[in-house]
Amino acid sequence: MGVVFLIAMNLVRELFRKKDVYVLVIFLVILLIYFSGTVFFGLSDIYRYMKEIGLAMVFLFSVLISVSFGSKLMIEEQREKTIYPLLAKPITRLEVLCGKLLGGIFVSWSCFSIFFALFLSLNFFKHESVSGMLYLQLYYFGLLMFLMLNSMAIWLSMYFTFSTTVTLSYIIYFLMLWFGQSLRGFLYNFSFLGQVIYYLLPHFEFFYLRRRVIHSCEPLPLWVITAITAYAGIYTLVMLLSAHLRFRKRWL
Amino acid sequence: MAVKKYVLITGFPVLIFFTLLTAVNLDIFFLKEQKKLFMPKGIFYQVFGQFRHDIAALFYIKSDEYYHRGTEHRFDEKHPGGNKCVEESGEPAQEKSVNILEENNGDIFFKISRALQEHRLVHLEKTERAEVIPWFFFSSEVDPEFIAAYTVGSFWLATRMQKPDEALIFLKKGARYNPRAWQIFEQIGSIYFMAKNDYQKSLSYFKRAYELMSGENQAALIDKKRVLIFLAASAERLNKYEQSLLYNEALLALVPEDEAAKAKIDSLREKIEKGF
Repeated sequence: MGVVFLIAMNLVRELFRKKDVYVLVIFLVILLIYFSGTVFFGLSDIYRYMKEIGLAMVFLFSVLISVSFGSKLMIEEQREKTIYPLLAKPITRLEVLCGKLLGGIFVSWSCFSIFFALFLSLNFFKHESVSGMLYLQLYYFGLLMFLMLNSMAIWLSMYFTFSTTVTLSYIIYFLMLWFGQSLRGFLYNFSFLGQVIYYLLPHFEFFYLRRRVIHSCEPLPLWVITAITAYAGIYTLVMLLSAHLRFRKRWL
Repeated sequence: MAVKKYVLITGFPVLIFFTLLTAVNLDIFFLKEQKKLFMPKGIFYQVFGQFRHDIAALFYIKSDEYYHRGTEHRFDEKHPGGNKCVEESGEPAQEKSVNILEENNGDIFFKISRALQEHRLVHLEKTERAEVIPWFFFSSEVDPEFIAAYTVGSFWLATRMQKPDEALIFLKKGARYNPRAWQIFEQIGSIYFMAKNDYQKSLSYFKRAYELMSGENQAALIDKKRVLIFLAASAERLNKYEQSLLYNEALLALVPEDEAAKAKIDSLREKIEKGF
């Protein structure tokens, strides 16, 4: 477990060594300040559009970092041939994979937390009152989503090249986010096969509570939170195990 | 080898640049073909090209979503209260969401996705209604030719926010970009008539709207009727009874069974005969 954690922490350090996250932080701050200062036709006390745009940016920027980072974790090790000294150490392939996945998750969570904290602090200055429970649920679901997104990216990277993995990850993520709900009706036209595909696809739309927060809806009931937590956990585990099956048999 | 690599590295951005340039030029060509008098400028116009129509429509739909407090209405969904919102039907919002959740009992994914969506049939509170305004603004910024953004947005500004001056500024900006849109001129006339009580201006704007809607013959009968009613009323308020009579006669020709127009014509003739 210590080795897994060590690999993961190395990846988190790499995130802060690179400049991507700082650029996105600056860009987010500029956007949030610009939108919070905009006055429409002399009307004050308008918050929701800012929450809409701000949260969209928080999720988008986190996904950008998460996918590009998660996709290269294993591919880069193999391309740079640093996987050989790593595997020469008393460490199993599963531990390497777990370490990389954990690192990817930590990186995504760190980015998401930074962006989310920025968004929250600006919201606080706007004196906007929304249930803290809703924000907590949004944050928690965001963490779960990045857990799944990273596991999917690592699984895809076992089969495809870096660019294909990144492209596929973005396509799957945005397709599920935008059309996940309506996909059910479409896929169910294809009888059993359609239903299987529907259940196998990663349902990222389950984790997107943006609309509930924007419109100050009621917090979600406990059964929904439990069900989605279980879904994210099971999906991540299945992705990790299938990635391990592939990685275990791979000739490096 | 080095040359090939250089060509590959530089070729891709150059290709993208020329594709974008062609797209923008094509866009401008079609605008010139349509003889648009006022060429929209701005970053959205240059970046999105014709795609901006769809983005503007998405922003416009957002205003509806905001007005219904985030409730997403699917076409195949039946709500127990019909199309009435909660304040009209008097039913509690939660009752409706429970009914929706009872469908498809065995499918956990369906249940989760339904629980995540909002099913309240409620509108924004009066104090929150300004929240819809930014989306009309964004919609008009992205696509200055999106007429509904100006007309509906200005309706909200003038009637719900009590800001007729801002509504007029917004509409006049719309008229600059869409000089042949009768809807915008009609809306300007309505605001001058109802909110500003400036009948001289309302008369001239309704006249322009009527000219446009008659010339291109695009407007529905109900729209023409509404504009004629306002034209007649504006003329009457300015004591131009002969002019008002003409508009009422045009209205009667358009809708022969309109009893109100007949009564108005009689009363106007009486006024003219008495020398008012």
